[in-house]
Amino acid sequence: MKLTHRLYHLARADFYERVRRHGFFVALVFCVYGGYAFLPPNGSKYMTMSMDSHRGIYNSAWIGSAVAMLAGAFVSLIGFYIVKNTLERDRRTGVGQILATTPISKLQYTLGKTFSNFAVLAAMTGVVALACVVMQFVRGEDHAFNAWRMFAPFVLLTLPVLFITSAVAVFFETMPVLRGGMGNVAFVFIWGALLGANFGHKQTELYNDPLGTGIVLPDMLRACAAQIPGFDPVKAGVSMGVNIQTEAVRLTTFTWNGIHWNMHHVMWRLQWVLLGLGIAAVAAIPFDRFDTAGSALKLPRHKRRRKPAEEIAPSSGLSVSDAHLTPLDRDAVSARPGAMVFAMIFAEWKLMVRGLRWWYAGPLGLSIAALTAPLDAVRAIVLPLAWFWPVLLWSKLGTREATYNTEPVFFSAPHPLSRQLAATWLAGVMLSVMTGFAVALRLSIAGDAHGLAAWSVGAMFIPALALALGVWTRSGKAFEAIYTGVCYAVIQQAAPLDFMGAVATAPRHNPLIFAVLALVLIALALFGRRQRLQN
Amino acid sequence: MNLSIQHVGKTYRRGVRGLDDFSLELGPGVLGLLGPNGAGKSTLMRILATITKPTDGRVTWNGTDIVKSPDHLRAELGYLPQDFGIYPNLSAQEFLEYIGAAKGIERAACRRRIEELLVLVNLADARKRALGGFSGGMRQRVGIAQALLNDPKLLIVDEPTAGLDPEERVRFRNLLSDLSGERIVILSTHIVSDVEATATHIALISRGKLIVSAAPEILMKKVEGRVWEWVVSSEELIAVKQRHRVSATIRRSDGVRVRAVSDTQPAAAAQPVAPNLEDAYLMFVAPAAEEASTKAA
Repeated sequence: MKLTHRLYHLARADFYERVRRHGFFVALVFCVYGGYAFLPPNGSKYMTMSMDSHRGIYNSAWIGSAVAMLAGAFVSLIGFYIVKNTLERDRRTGVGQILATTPISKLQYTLGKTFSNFAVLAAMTGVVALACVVMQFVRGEDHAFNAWRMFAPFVLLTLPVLFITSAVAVFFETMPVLRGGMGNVAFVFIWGALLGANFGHKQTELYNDPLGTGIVLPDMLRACAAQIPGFDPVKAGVSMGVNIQTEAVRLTTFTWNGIHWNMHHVMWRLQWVLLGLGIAAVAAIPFDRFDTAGSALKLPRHKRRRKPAEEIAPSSGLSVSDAHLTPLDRDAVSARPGAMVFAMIFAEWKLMVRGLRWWYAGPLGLSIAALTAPLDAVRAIVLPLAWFWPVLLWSKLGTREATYNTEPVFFSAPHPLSRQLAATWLAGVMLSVMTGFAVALRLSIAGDAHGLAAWSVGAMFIPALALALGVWTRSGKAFEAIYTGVCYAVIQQAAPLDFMGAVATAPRHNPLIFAVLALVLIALALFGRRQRLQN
Repeated sequence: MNLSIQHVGKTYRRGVRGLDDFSLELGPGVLGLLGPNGAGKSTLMRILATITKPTDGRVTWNGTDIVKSPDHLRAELGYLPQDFGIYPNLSAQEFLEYIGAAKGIERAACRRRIEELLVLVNLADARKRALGGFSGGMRQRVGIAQALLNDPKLLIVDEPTAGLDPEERVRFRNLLSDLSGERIVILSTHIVSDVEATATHIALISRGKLIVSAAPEILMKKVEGRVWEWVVSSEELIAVKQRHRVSATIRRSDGVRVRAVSDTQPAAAAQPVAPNLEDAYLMFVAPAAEEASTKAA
């Protein structure tokens, strides 16, 4: 069988399996919304692509290029978490073991999976692009539709960066250390470094520009300078992403007719596709071909140390009648929801911190820093770090039952909401308290009541967020990605996102907002779990 | 002690019927639930285990509706699901302690119970080892232990002997028989011999409907005089299989000994023989499945 034929079928089967899921449809709905939200009318309270207080009129060229860049950035971030499960699914369903017995090579497999990932992300991009066509007429600033100017940026700007994302997702899945939560967290930083750093930069070297902003932005700025008197492209601030404003935004418009794509541009964009192919090929090296037998790479060190259980053969003298099973005293089983809740919290806690050894070095070091560093640094740096450290433990809240298929057992035990879910959240709060205790002590000594209030809210908000996302998505990925982003933003002094009291300029009412949000998240978690129980 | 299943039905999305007008009254003893794949056994088990809610009908446990008050039953319920999951980093002891807490069992009593259960399922020596390293059979034994942890009055076990070796299977069947005195045990399985060895009552289910429910001896009586054995040549075998409901074939030097269920004597050489549960299963379930297929066509 030809290589292309094999790759095609591998990618096709995987693609169909994914796009026929309910979650993919939800992702497409978000894509349509993205196409709509990326093009706000004048008077909206946010802006997307703009230069100072100017933007291009919503013609095919501007819409295509602006949304293609935004889609490249957002779909590459969110899409990574959507597609980073293809090997895991083959592993879980056992299909991987069947594939492993076929002549397909490791390289063919990783390439096939990369193409499948890419097909999923490309389909999402296609929906965004189609939404843009509709949006051009909805906004009605220019009724002349030009397919090349609209779609070429999606092909040349968005798809290459999505191809790399697809390959990176496969690479992460083949690397045992990056397969789980560690990889989910790491990708946020990688994305931030590669794409976020270039976001809105006016001059970017093409070799360091996966998003292609360096091709488009200078041309847009030139057009703006030519049409808007007094506009200085060197001093102008470029806005990309979704920038929320307190007041209605009114932007003046200019006409930009798009990039004249040439072979030079195409070659620069192709380099990213080649890089993606290279990453997919490299992914074949650590790929274990679903060999579950004691690979040294497979398990984290602390898990490897545990001795595997030996099969204990039934001893010849033992029969069921030899074993004595005393009837359980019914008084020892409590039907009250509140009964045994401490035992349940303790059990949840043990489950959460099981197998951790060197992990404690982090909270210990950060606690020492919290007690010795200047108070401002403790608030701004030590606390966010102390509460970022346990991200991979919190991300298991609410997902463990689905991950390990223990739902039937736990959902048939008494009070799955009031006893079990409450205990899960409280165990998460205990983790916040443990890792942030030294900071709280420091704030108490300093008499910082507002700081302590913010700290208390933060301690409850984090596990509430983890639990709600875990219950609804049945995976830790959403929490790992969102929480990492939020912590990153807090360290960068993003005041509106400061849920813990780390940003000096944060509004005084932040603790109140996040306390309400924590309650809403807990309610959402309860509602989600209740829905699951009532299926 | 009474479990009452009254006209219970379950309709999934797109109108797929998982269970249809299913009624049964149960008292202490072992109910063997037999049926082909997709018959609705697991749907019924999940409804009885309070995990799935029925779309029609009512289930009561000692008079209390289990949909309206699931915790009333959950306090006295032991459930071993078909695909039983474990936490790989916990030891058997820790895992059982965790489930004990979820079931609301007081700590000291829970520890004593775990001690006995680990001996019972022959995992006392492996109690401190991580579950992730357990074999399929050992995991299943942990599943059995967790189901018995709260000394349940209603024990529901879905394909409990899957993954067990023959000796473990026999031990588990004996255990179910021993446990059935003061409780209701519902055993769902494909393995007819498991039901034959333990059940005090048998329910045959196909395409979501209850086909027949009776004590094993009554079920057997209904098949009496309808089970035949005779020897055919290898060439004739295919034709015989097409004409009759064949429950077993054994190759011998003089041909193939065929065992079939038929209302009338299927061949001149056919002799009536004592029926077993497989014959009864074939007699009741196969026509129901055929009828449903014909209707669907």
